[in-house]
Amino acid sequence: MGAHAAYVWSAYAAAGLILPVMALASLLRLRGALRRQAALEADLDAMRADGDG
Amino acid sequence: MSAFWGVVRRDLLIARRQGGSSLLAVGFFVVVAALFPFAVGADPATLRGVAPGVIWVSALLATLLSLDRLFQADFEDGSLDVLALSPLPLFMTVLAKVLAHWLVVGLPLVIAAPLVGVLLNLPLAAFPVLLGAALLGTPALSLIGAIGAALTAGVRRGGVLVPLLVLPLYIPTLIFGVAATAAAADGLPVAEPLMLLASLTLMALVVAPVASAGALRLALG
Amino acid sequence: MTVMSGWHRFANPTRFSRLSARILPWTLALTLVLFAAGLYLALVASPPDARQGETVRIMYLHVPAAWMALFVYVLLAVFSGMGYIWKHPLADIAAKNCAPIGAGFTLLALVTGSLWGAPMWGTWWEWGDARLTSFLILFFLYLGYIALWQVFEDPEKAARAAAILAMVGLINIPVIHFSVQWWHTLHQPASVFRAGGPTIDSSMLWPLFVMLGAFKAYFVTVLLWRIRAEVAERRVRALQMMQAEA
Repeated sequence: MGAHAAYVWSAYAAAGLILPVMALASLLRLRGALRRQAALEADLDAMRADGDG
Repeated sequence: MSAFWGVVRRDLLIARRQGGSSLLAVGFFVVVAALFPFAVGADPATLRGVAPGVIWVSALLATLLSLDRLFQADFEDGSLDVLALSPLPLFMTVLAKVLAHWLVVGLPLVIAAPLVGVLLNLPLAAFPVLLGAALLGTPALSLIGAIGAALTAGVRRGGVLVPLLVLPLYIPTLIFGVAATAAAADGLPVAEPLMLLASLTLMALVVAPVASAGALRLALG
Repeated sequence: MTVMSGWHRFANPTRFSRLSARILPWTLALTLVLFAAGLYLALVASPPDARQGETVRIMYLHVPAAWMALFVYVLLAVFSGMGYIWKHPLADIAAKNCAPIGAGFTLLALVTGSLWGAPMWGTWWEWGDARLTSFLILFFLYLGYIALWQVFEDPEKAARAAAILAMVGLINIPVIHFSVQWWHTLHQPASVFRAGGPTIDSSMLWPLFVMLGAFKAYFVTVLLWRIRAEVAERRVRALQMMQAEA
């Protein structure tokens, strides 16, 4: 690339930083929330089973 | 209609009893403007160049500083609940309170603006336009500010949020106010920025009372 | 009434979670494919521009980012209006989670715009460029919206306050844009830049188009992830309350 290659690469590096970081943070948040929800629901089911038994 | 003026009179009475609101705003306005010669240098030509912008930014900050008085005290002592229960629609109450706020804070700023103009070497020929632009523009500052004040009424540490909410919305008023003042200083036509400033104020007059009333209902509910 | 019931069919959180779980693999795949194709077209397959040279390649990021920044704010305000009128938590959650993504797009538009302008203008920030200035103000609007959500403890109140702010902001965006444009004609800077922006050559259209699709697919994917996460978090909070009571 020509004289301004550094500017072009910097722009793509910025996009390569901002977009994946945002996506990864959202995905990790989702996985954490789903795991907590599943654990709590299992707990409550167990409690309910105890109550019935 | 008498209920409307009743709210205005009540707020003006409170402001007079507490005292100092106007003086505080004007004092802040003049002191901030007086900082600029120290910051940009004493050269008269430089000062003349930045004068319109400095006057407007200082007036805008002085208005911002006074916004927490708009609803917060009434919210805390419960009189806002009483006002909301009165037959006057809440957006009219908001409008009355904004009018009182403008009379207490905005109008003194307009009157003090020529003084700051003298300090900053603004040409005398620009003074009538400066006054006219300030009269047209400061109501918009009070109206738009009311939205920010209403959104943060009843929220702890809400006050620090107001500048972030309100300042971006102030930018069009700032642009046209400065443009009218600067055009007058340069002897250029001023009709267009003044008319745009007036239309901004009209728009704020329509949007701000309704939006603020909606926000206040949250704080009360 | 039919609009209402149609909306509520999607708005049921459980149904939403099931539906979004089915859609998400496809939007994720589409995002990856479109970004791969878009990057290839933007960096390899397209020629440098006659006047802008290689820096034209920055436009393939800047234009979609700027477009999405505005689009997401409009969408946020629409969700806010729906949440405000129908008091539906899912619309509130959607509006809330639009904001960080939109702010990210705005930031990217600002950074790429500055990098595009640096070799052209000789400065990193050119106030004379009306669009860049407008996007800076849009970024402030996003920050204010996000901050307003933070200060309320009750999510329902936060949603309604933020919705009012979003709708006021939506009315203000054209006003701000017009005033900044008007201000720009007053302070015409000595630059190679015209008010209408650079002209678009047909060789630019394809990479631009594909990149815009990639940004859209990315937005849908990340937004759905975030909404699902927030729905699950609220469910967790409700379950914890139940457990504490039991």
